Amino acid sequence: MWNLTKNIFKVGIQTKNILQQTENVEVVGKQLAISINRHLGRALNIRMIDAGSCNGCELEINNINNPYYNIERFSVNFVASPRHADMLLITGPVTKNMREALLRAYEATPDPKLVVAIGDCAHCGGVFNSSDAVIGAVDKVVPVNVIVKGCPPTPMDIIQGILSALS
Amino acid sequence: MHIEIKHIETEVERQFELAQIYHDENAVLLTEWVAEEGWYTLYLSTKKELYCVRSQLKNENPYIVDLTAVFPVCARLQRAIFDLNKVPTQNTVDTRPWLIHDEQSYNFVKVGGEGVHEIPVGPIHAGIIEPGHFRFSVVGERVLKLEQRLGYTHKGIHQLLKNKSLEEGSKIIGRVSGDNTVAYAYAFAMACEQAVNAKIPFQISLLRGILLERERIVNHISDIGAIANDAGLPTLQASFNILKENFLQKNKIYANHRYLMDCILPFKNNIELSKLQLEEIRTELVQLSQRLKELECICQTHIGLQDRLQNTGIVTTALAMRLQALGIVAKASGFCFDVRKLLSIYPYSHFPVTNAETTTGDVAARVSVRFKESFESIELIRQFSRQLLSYSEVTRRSAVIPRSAGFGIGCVEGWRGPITVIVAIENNNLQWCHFHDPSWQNWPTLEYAVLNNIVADFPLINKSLNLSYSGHDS
Repeated sequence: MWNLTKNIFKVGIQTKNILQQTENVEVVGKQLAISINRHLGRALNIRMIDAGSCNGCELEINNINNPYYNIERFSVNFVASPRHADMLLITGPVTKNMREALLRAYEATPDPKLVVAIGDCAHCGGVFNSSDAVIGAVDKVVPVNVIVKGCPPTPMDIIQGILSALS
Repeated sequence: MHIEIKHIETEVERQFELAQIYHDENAVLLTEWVAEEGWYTLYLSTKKELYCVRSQLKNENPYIVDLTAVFPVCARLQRAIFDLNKVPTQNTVDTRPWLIHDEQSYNFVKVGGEGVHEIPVGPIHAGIIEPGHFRFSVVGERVLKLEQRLGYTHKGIHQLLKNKSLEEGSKIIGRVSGDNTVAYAYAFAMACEQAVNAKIPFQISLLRGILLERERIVNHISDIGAIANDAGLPTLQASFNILKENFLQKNKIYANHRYLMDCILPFKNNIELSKLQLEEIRTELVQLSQRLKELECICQTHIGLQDRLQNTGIVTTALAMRLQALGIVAKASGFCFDVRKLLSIYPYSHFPVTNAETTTGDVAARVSVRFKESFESIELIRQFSRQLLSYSEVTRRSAVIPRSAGFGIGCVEGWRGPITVIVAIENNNLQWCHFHDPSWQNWPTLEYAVLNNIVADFPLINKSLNLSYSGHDS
């Protein structure tokens, strides 16, 4: 426990370094926080749904919670149930096997719901588009507000996508 | 430099007998599949050989035989074969669909008795992870049975790969399981190169080795952090995530991709590292290694953490051997089976790896194997880059391609375990391609690892195996 406490003090707050390290997370993040506050007056709750991805997009969505991006400080919260969500982040070419689960999660999300499709596969089916086992783009199954392209998109792209869905 | 393969032709009925013989020789069944030419099974023996057994199927009413009694992984593989190729297995008990979910209902095994209740979980899980369904049968807090239903991310990739060019194929196969993209692209390239008998310059192999070990390091670091988080220490996970993000940003600089996708292609690499960058990697790794040692010390001395990790989700050596677990799961249970050692392909033939083995088989053991392997990967990259620096020219040189058709096997020790890719090439196109993720072997291991543990420990145990849904469902 003592070692861990020492480590916490030694490492310090890493988000300070971001301005030098990556493109303007601070700037986009502050806009995001303002936008969330204006529209919701509380935290933005996101439910992430993998509708058939290769797990590459999940890696980057996980990374927006790491100490460099730390999206939680801009009032963004990942929740476990679609019933608690304001926004769905959906990845993957939608597979035939995930279609029903995706539809049910979408229906369980209270209105007005925002949908952000993450990644090239969610955008257009990506390299899997011509396969018989996939339906393809997310908007073939549920309405989509914003598309974030990339294979996988970077954490910055994803944060930007969440912001543009709110504006 | 190619893998030694023994090709064996036999009748369908004799395959069971052969499977028993190979099992007695301590060989493992890497994968089985059905293609136009028949039914194939592929074994890796401890004698450093691959046995590729092929049986022609009957034209009318073709069938394969059940090898589950010898190699348990076949239970699911043969269900998948029926779904994808419509070839049934003779006298098999379980004929439920596996990868194709056309039917609405699926018969889970019911556990009876007083006080038994079911907890269905998924397919959409409560976190940022892939989809799959888990059905727990529980008494009080304890898990009596876990049954998995997978296939939700099935993308029909085997079918999709048919008649694709090698470049297209490489792009698709690099997206079978995103966190394992290097190993898949590497194994695919290896298979293609063997099929057309192309000789690969040492520089290309060394760079591939560097990429493969970098993928291992980043996934191991990330997993250890996630395990700490599931044990209630998000601050400790944050420290691991800082190392991970630093590492990914370096990947972006070196290879223009944070997860190293599309860096390896058949006959060549898509990136090159300058001498300056190789030196930079060596400095980067010194810092990483130092920091990782500090974090290892924290993990080992944190009593609260160790209390959660030790004796949780035990996979005994006997169980690992019976289920033929692969990769880190097997290594943590004292069943060490590392393709880098067994197949001795350059550069691993010249820079041998040691056994990152432990025997306790609990979550703590799987953490310990990840630490050991990370340190070893750091050392390997340093050796590979030193070797690369000794060449006057470190840049890309493509291999010569002597012929346009053939059959080849590629097998690479990815961070999860061996990734196997088999290709049949005709006119420089893929006639067909079969690939196999070690998660096939390890998913059933998870069903056993949770038995008699409490439900609340399931996320921790699951995370310590961290299996691929997409690699399995494909």
